[in-house]
Amino acid sequence: MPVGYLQLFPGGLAPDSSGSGNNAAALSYEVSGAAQGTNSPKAAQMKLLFDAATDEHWLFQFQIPGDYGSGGTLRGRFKMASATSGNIQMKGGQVTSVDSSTDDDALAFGTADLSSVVVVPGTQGQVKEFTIALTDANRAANRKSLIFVGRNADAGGTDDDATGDLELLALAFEYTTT
Amino acid sequence: MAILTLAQIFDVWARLMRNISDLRLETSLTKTDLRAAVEAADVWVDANAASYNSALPIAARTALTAKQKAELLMMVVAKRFEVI
Repeated sequence: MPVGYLQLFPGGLAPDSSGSGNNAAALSYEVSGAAQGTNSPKAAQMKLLFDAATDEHWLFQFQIPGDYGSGGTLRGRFKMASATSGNIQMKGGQVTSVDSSTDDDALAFGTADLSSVVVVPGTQGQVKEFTIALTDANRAANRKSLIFVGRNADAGGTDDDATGDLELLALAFEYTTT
Repeated sequence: MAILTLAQIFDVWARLMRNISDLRLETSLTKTDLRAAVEAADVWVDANAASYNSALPIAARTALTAKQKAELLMMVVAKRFEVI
């Protein structure tokens, strides 16, 4: 079956950072230090910085595409600000509202879904992929949905032991189309 | 001088990682390695605090507070190793 994509980042919104375990990632704008090509602007991009010591998160609010058939995976690409060794682990969650049924005033994410442990690139500036299979029984075409992504910085052991910020560069919601 | 508490060690460790990230300083140290380094530095400071104090001229030793002596040491070390 064909695969559908919905680009989530750049975009999204910060959690409100109240309470505990609800910290927001830092939105940042990066301008490349490399020389410009002839008649071209400087390369620049948005990125989300995820702390290495404290779990941080970002939210995405959208309508599930009309060609949604099944599945639900977050596929993202990141680089590390400093680290050239160690591992990272990302986490995510999804909560979808069923029309005329779900109380959308009282949404709550379940236990976070985790990515595999990913070895960071050994060279600073290189990009790598992570995926998270999302658990959400309510997914269906055209339903309103909320997703979060975060770094499992307090995973402990070697699951997330890479030093310094993780920089999220792109994130998509991937699914199987009808 | 008391050894840092776990919460203080965490704070120093987290600040160091933020500084490293802000400056985009490449490092092959893992979080565990860096945490061990913070703890080792804390132990060293504790073991050598009296020695540092006695190395200061008597005027400064008696006039400066412990916090001022710490700031003096921080400035000298930072300048010596080109942190500032």
